[in-house]
Amino acid sequence: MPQAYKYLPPELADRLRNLTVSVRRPVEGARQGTHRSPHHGASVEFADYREYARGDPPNRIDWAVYARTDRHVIRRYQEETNLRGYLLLDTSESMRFKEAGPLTKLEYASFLAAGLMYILINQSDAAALTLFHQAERRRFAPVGTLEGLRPMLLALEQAEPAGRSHIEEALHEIAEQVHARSLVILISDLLEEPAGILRGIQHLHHNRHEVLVLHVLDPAELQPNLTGWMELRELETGSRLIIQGDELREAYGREVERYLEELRRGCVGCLADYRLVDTRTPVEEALHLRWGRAG
Amino acid sequence: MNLTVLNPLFVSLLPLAAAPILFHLLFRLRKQPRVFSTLMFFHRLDPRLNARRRLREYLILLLRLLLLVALLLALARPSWLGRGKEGSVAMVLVLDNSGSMSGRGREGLPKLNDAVATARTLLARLRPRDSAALVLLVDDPAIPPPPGLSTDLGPLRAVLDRATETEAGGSVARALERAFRLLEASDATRFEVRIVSDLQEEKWRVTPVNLAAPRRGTSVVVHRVASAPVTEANLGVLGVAPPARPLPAGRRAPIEVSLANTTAFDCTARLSWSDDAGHQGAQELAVPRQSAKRIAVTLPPLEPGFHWLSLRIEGDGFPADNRAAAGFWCAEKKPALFLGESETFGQLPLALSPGGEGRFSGVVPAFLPAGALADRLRERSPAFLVLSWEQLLSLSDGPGLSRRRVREFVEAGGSALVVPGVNATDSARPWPEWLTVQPGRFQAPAQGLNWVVLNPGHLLFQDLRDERGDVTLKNVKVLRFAPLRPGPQDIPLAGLEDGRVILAEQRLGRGVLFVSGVALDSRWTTLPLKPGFLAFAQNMALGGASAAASATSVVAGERLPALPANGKPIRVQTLAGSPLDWKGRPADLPGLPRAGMYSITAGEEILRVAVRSSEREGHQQFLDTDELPALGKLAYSVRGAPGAAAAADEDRLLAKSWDLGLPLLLLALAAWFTEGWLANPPPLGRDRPGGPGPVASRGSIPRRERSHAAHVA
Repeated sequence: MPQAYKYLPPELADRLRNLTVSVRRPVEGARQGTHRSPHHGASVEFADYREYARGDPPNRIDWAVYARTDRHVIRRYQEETNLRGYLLLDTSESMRFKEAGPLTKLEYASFLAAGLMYILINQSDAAALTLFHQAERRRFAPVGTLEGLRPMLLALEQAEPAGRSHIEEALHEIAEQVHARSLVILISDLLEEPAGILRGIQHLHHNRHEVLVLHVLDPAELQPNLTGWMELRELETGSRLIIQGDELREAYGREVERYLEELRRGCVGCLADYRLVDTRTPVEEALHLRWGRAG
Repeated sequence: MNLTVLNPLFVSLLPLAAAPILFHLLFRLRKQPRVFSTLMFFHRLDPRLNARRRLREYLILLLRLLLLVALLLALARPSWLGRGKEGSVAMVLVLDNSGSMSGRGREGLPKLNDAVATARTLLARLRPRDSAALVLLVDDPAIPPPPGLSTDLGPLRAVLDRATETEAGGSVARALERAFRLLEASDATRFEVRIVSDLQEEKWRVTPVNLAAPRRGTSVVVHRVASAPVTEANLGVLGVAPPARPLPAGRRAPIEVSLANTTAFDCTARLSWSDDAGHQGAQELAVPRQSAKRIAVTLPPLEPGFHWLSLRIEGDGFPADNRAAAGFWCAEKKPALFLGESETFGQLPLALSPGGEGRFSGVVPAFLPAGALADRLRERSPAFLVLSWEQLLSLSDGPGLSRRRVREFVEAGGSALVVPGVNATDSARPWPEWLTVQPGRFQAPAQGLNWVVLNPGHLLFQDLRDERGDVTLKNVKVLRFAPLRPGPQDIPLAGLEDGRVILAEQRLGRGVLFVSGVALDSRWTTLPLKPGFLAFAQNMALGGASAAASATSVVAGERLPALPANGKPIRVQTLAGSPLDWKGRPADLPGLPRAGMYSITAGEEILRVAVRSSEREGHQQFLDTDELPALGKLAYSVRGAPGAAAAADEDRLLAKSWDLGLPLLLLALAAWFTEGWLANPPPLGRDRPGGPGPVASRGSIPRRERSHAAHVA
């Protein structure tokens, strides 16, 4: 690294170096890699047998099978390829919120995004980044080198929260744009109706992408200090609401839990990984819990 | 308008009801909005939360306004006069005829004139079916008001015509209780108590104890009679001290009079007096501001019998505290019989009559032999009988004999003294059995012993007590004595420093027998050498007559302490002062409201009463606020005197009203409870179905208290 990045300081990079990212579903990469591909090819990982066809190299016939069954079959091996990780980072106005945690949600999400991209590139995979909110998309094509990571890290540092999210729209866009099976990582506070978000995730799942949802929230959003009369102003819309905190505190907690459960169940239904992290959780721990250490 | 309020002050406070609006606006201005990431969860809870919240806020605000308005209106005691033209009124007029009402009003006339005019105006407003009664603040036996409420107002007006100022204070509480009692029996539809008074502080600042509550719906209205500013000095009679024991006939009689000037002006006035014998006198007085003074009025020699003195201050600024009277007895000269020679009794004969002719004491010493005692007692009753121990024993004790006559004399109400003769050498025996005070043997200590008064409150030591009540006979030595042993019923009067008794009193029948263990001679004791010895000896000789020496003295308006209790009707007649001739039962006699000398006759029994005016009525301070402590917790209103121009239909409308205080109070309570319920609702969504259940914990975040340093470092 030529210089220290705000969201990927050398200390954090050192601690993330041994972390890896893996996927459950086959992915389609451009190069040879360590991840399972939907295609068969040359590797040491046995996949299955198929009948010999004209044109197949005769040296790939499994003669042991022929001896037992009097059939000519060819042994096929699982192709291994590299992984393309597409990171979708929500930069809507609500990500500016910070109350109980040490960082705004966007800052914390930027740490997560930088760490993930570093892990991907460090394991010879490719990482792409899209910063999105309602009015703007800023996309970075997949890169496989640390040098290629630099514009993305700088973009993270320059990102400013603005506008509303429209997460569903962003998910549909990435589903349409990325044709090869990839890993799509959504980092957002998901402060929208869960149904829309889940439709976007289902779209990605339908396109055979592996989906990972990192739900970033400030602790104060989960258990806000609601006491007495207060007037609340929403960050994204500026709309106001006068409430009696004591009256709503308990109901609010239940409603948040209901919302989280709806998201979690929806992600499970789409075979997407869902992880809720608050901004007090150390970044390394948040990443470590999802992916194991190499070796 | 058919609405009136009894406490208009609270109506003027109604703008305060807008306070919740001000607080609401201020609170909104000062409330800083809190930035929050999303309101989604609140809208998911209740999409109309904001609208409901605002509606509830306005409701709470409205209820608070209603609470304050209802509370203030309830305190204002409004009355709905919707049925003002129906029903009838029962009105009790309480007329202040106390001494303070003789002061000048705004027009320069006595305030009682204004009060009577006000009462007339109030009576004139009544309609034919209305009833009224009159209660005087000071009962006046000369003008008893008609008993009970009556629609015939003629007798009431007649009483008002004859109403004159008294010299007594009166009781507001007592007059109100009487007024309330009168209203209890009324079947009218509205009840009123109208008080007409100058609101003198002496009477109206007194907090009543257990003031009776009026009948429900009774309105109490106080009409203030204005007082003129005080510009002149006022001198009042604080008291008259008649002689404590009968004066000797033919001797000039000094009467002490106490006066006080309670104003801020120096006073120059004249005290004039007259007595029953037609003597008159006057003397000029100068009493500085805020000070008291005692003067002596000396009457010319009087004949034996009862006499009175009437006093009056003239020339000051207030008349109702200027008069007083005193009654006293003059006794003819009576002999003090000494049984034996004068030398036997030391200095006692001289003390009883220093001049020998009884000019100062009314007692003339007479010495006679023991054998002449029975005849002398039969011939004329002496004022005092003195005999020595030896002579008492030398008298025969048989029927019709001298010693028996001594006992009969005392039992019949006489006073006697048994004293050792100056030359006595030993206590004689046997002592008569009816004499319970027993003597011991004579003793003569070398240095003598101190004489000690054992019963300082006894009549014997009257005139010998200082201001603290201590007897001034001090440093008296007893050189020779015989100690006495009083019986259980006897009263020790004086003794020695070691506690032994040397002078005791034995009650015998209606009379008194003094027994002394020491001769009243300077060889036996230094008592005859003391200045108080004359008063001591004369008190002993005349003490039996002290109780009847003077008339009963009271302040005008006070209940008489002791009326004849023989069950016969009494008759009260004026001897001096305002004419009065009252007959009736003793229980019906109110206090005598004017100063003067009165005789109260019940059959053969005659009680003489000296009445002086109440000096408190001369205090010229009046309440000028609408707060009257004397009315306690009563609801009332204070108004000026209704003049002819003000005789509007106001009181007509009061004929029937509904007190709206309680409904308004209930309304305020209801608003309070509703406001409390709205402002503190139960938490929202507690019982909302479809909750996340136990799986919710899977999505929640484990709490970690880690620092930001662990975050990236």
